[in-house]
Amino acid sequence: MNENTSDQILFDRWVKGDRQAFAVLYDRYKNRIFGFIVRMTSERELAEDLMQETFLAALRNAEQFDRRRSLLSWLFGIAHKRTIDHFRHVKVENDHRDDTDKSVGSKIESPIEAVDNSDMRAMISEAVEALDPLQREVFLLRELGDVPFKDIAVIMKCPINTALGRMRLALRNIRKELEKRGVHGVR
Amino acid sequence: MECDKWVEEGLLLVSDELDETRKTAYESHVASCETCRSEMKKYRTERSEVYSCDLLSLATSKEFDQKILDACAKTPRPAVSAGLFSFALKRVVVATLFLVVGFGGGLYVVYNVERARNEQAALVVPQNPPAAAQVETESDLAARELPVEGMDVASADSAGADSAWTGAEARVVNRGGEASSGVIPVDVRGK
Repeated sequence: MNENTSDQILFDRWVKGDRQAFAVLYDRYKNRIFGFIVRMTSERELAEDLMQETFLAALRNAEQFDRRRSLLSWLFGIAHKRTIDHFRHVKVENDHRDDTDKSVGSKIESPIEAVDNSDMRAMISEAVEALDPLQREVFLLRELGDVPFKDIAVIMKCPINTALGRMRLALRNIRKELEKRGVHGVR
Repeated sequence: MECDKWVEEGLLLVSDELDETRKTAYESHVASCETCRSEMKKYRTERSEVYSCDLLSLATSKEFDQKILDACAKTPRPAVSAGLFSFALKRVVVATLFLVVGFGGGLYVVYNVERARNEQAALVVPQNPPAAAQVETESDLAARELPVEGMDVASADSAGADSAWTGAEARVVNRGGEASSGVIPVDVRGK
């Protein structure tokens, strides 16, 4: 089993009980999915719980996976749903931007990454955290999950034009935040 | 189309979601619009340098990874290979249950309606009850002026005019030769 084995083949093997296949898939996408959940929740411990729920839900609902779709898109859709369900349950007010204690790298950065933390990573984290939650979600689904906009529209239950509008605004606002932090223009 | 909309078309182009017609239209617009051309260039660069997956991703710890792997190993596998079969089987079972319950319910209702009708019919009291059977007594016979069994004509005549008999006794012989007697109610007292 090499790194180029397609997601669908690995997924089928995983569902039939091949632990090695699951290990490959997990290793392939864990950082992206984890990054998405952490940036949506701003809490690492909570993100770990939701990450586990995401993969367990993927295993339990394997028969619902449409093999014409991207496995990563499907996993991101599950992660999105778990995150939204969590917020509905606890009725947490979505006030990340005002809570300076939660802003940026200190809480959400991996202890391993903190050693090699680059300024750009920290600034990007800050800029993404500062986004409106809906814009942040579209941005992360697109850039981290490589989810097509038509799938983003389905996941977020909005028209595709709305998803596109949010993405356009997210890009504009990230640039503004980066400019505030001294990153002017991109080569 | 405003430039904002063309920017969104550019986003769809990058995610490979534009058909050929719209792709051609976008490229044609970008060729003549500096704003949109600049925007697309910026976006493509940002994707690779600023918010690439490497910068947006977050690493997990080894302990956490092992925890996930163990948890998934313990979770029972769904029967994916029978997915289609179980999908169809579930629907057939549900449909059959509906049919059985519906049919049974219908039969139950019909049975009860029929039973109620029969019970109602049994309770109806007829308006003209049949006449009770009359038992003929000797007084009845007398009232009908029929002779008491055994009395012949002669004895009836000898009873005289004072007899209680108010009618002459007649003797009828039918064609078969059998005689039967009866009384024709005739008032002979005045003669």
